[in-house]
Amino acid sequence: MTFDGRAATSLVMLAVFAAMSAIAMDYPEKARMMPLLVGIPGTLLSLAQLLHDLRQAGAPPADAESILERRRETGMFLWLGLFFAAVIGFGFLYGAPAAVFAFMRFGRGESWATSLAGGVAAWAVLYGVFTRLLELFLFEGLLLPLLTG
Amino acid sequence: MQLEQVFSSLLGIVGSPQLMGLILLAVPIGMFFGAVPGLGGKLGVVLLIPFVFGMDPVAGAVFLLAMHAVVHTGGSIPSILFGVPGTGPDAATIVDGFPMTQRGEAGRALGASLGASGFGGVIGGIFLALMLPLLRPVVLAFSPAEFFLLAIFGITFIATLSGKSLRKGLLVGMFGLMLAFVSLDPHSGAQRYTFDMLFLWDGVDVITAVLGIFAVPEMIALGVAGGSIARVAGKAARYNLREVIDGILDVFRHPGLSFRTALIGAGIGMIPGLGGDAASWICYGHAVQSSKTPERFGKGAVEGVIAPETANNSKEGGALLPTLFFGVPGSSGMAILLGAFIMLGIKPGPMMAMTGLDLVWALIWTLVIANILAVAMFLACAPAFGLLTFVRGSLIIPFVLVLAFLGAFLSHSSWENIVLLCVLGVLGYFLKKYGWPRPPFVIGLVLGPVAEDSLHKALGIWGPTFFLRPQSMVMVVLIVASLAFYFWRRSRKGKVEVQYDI
Repeated sequence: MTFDGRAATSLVMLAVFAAMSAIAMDYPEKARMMPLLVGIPGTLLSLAQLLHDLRQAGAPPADAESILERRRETGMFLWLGLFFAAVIGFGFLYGAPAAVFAFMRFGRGESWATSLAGGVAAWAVLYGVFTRLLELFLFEGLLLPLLTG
Repeated sequence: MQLEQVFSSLLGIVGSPQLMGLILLAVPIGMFFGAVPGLGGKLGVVLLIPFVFGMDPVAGAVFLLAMHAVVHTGGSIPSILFGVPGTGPDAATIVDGFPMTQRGEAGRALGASLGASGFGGVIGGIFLALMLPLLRPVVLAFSPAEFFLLAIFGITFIATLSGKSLRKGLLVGMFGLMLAFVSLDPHSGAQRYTFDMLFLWDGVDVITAVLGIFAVPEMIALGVAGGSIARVAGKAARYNLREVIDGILDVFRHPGLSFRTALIGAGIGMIPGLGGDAASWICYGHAVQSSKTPERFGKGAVEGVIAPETANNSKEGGALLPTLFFGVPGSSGMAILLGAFIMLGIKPGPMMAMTGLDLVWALIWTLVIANILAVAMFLACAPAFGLLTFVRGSLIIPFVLVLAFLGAFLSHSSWENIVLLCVLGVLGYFLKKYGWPRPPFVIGLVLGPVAEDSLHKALGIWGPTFFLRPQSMVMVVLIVASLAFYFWRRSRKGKVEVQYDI
């Protein structure tokens, strides 16, 4: 039996179905009917999928390519986290362009000029199109209002 | 069918500077998203959703559909010029389109693709129009029992076509259903899976979920791949406008093939879960089988370009039928459009057949006008297509992520949706990585409320034996047949996989 990323994904699905089915037990009868109608078969199916994945032949030994891929995956998740932190912390008008600039310069190795242009373009679209033209309210962030009073 | 209603819708679009302006804007955007490999029309719709917030429902629907309708017109460009499919369904065009380029007929291949796309798109719109009078009594005959079973059929059918594993397809569809139950239960008022978070009282936002499951994983995968969407070797082929026009005329030199494949594409588009690859490859196969000289195919036969391209565009007209009248998406692209329509305040379902025909006709004319305009724009921009080689995928990632975050926030003016977006984005990446198909998720999420509401009504009216009604038995037979077809196909050919372009 091999526990790898494939099996881990199946385990996550099993956990979601099992948890949602268990929670649904406490709901009134009409409210729990559909969640249980879907959740219980889902739990059983995902258990079957997990067992199938565990029984699969083991993954080939890690080579340079898979190590590189894993490193890039980790990098992309970190960048996703950075985008999240930037937007949640400082909002779309400031956090998002900063994240775009940082990704292009430090994530992709683009030149300073290209990265700066990217950040400015992001700000221009967010401000020019969404704020001014469409008159939409863009999230200002949780930290920025605190910092600016 | 009232002619006055038909033509008043056309005049309403053509006579409206706003609507024509939106179509004129949407067409090049759609062609761009189709032409840049790795983007795709579904991502285009998803990313344009923030821009239609606050728009009039008709204007927003026209804008998004016009963009979506011409994606495959653009998708044929890299297929023919570089041998790289712009979208999944355009892979069939490579088989004969790229060899045509290699022997110096790039212009003719582009023209044939362009003409076929425009022809197919117009036929798809006409097909939808002609089906309306036939469909109306069918839609009105559907009761809650049939709608519940139709929802189950939609999920089951697309799961049977999704990748190598029926189990994974069903699980993802059921996951979408489970997320659809997150909300205040409309029947009992109980909070379900909201954990006292206000932003979940109205349920998981479809736009956020779609962005999280599709857009974010695509960008993560693009970054992991090293940022290069398509590795294109060599320079783009040279061609002139006269060759392109000659190619357009090829469509009319093969009228029978063009018409048949357009109809087949529209018919396939009607079936929930099919479309995309199925339409283009089935029509390509038909072109080979119906040709008197099948040995030319694969080496640059122009019919090998015409057949898949007519089907790619005509299927959109067919796919609108179940989407608008049953609320069952005809394809994964339609599933995303359906979410956008709901966000705009349009309610797809049986009521469209009674009170929504003005909108339906507006969408039919949008399909026709967008495809015609795409031909004109394609001709105008043809010399510039070689520049597509300079589009670097890595430059697109940060902008797509920002638009995805924006779409998630704007859908409910809730920053918590951004959290949900990221969680689903990470999950969606691993689903993509380990071969879990994602289209069933959208269909489960969109159909969940319909399925639950219909089930409660059916049980209230007929009790647990509602599925024994004759009309319901037809749906039960379809569900069983789709499962049986899956197992039969597996036993005959081994594991056959349908590749979606997302």
